[in-house]
Amino acid sequence: MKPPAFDYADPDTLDGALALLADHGDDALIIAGGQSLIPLLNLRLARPELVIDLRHIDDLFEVSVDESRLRSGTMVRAADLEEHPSAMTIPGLVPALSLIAHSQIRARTTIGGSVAHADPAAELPALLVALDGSVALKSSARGERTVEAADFFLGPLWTAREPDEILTSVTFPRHKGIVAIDEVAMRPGDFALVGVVTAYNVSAGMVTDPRIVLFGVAGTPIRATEAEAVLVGAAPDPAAFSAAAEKIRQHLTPLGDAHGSVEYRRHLAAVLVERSLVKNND
Amino acid sequence: MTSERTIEMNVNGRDYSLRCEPRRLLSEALREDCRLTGTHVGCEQGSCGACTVIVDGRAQRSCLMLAVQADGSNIETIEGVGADSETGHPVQIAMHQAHGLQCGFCTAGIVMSLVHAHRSGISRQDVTKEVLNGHLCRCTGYVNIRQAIDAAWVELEDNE
Repeated sequence: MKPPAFDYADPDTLDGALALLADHGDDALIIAGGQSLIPLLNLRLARPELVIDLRHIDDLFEVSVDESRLRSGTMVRAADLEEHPSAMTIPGLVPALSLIAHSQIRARTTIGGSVAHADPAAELPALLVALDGSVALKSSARGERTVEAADFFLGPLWTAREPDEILTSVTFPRHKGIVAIDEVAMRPGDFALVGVVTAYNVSAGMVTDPRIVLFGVAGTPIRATEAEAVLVGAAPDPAAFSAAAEKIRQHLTPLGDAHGSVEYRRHLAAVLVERSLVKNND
Repeated sequence: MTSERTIEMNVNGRDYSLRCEPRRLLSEALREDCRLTGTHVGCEQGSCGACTVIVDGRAQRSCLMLAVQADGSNIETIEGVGADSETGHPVQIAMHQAHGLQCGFCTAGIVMSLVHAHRSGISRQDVTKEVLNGHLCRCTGYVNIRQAIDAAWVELEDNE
């Protein structure tokens, strides 16, 4: 067998899962869809004493929607949310979901798992940062709290979630303007070499509250603030988008690796930002 | 404390009751406990697609699922494809006729994804872009597999 030996619990209630997590602390790992955890187990990079499966906790499978946002329970599968009738009403959400891995992975991977895992090249964390989304966390000791996306992602596979907390839901606000996501990967379905989420509003012919969030270039999704600043108050036209891309070329220092050098990733980021803004504007 | 559990699952219409350690992967349970070795195991990281089976109606990686998580599930493997037909499933027939394989290692997984896509009415364009992209084949260059998809989807498109 590939994974190391571990014990397994599949409680029926969130309180049951939280109690187990409080008892076992860092020796326990939560499994949601398992599409990131099981590879880590198979490679024996993760060696938990206990795996706590959330698959029987019905509350965590709920999707709720109102005028301002969509809230997805942590256990909602990416493929199920992609097909959910309300997902299309959240700009950027369905395009982001469709970029996650392959369809066979999306059939099982979960919204909460993807966000809690916090891979630096993942799509949903970047979308959440761009939309000012948030996550709900719960522990048996301190109850529930909400953390804004901007404060949640701390580093590669590292978030503000405490060891005794379970991420219970993810909230995607409904942006009033234009949202787009794009990425370049070695092959479709691979992790992105570079990805970008752009979002902005237009008021009296001028861009307001622009967001340019890059992923795959640093330990967390990052806002390209210099490029955003260029867009504020500008007309949403090719000249402004080109100027924003130029700021990426000047200021971005992405991580490089065997799949893409620093220079190549910087180039990709600039091209993607411009392309995404132009596509938005069509 | 890694106590074994009893799991019940239905594979290709047959009920199985297995004793499994929690760390047993579904791919291992299918191959070694159910003796259904048509499901192949390649990378065991979710990248190659060789182990793909249909779990509760959706094509998924059996190497990225614990067997205990399949308790209560309905699973279809390559052994069950076309079993209810004298001529085989349209995907099987097309893969045979277009010679959509060489060594055959990746074939079971590809067929399971294609059977699911065919049943779901996914368009021919999306099959290549969204379904076949989840499978690695080192032999064919995908040309014959794509010809098989074209052939298998002709009938579907004619029915629309």
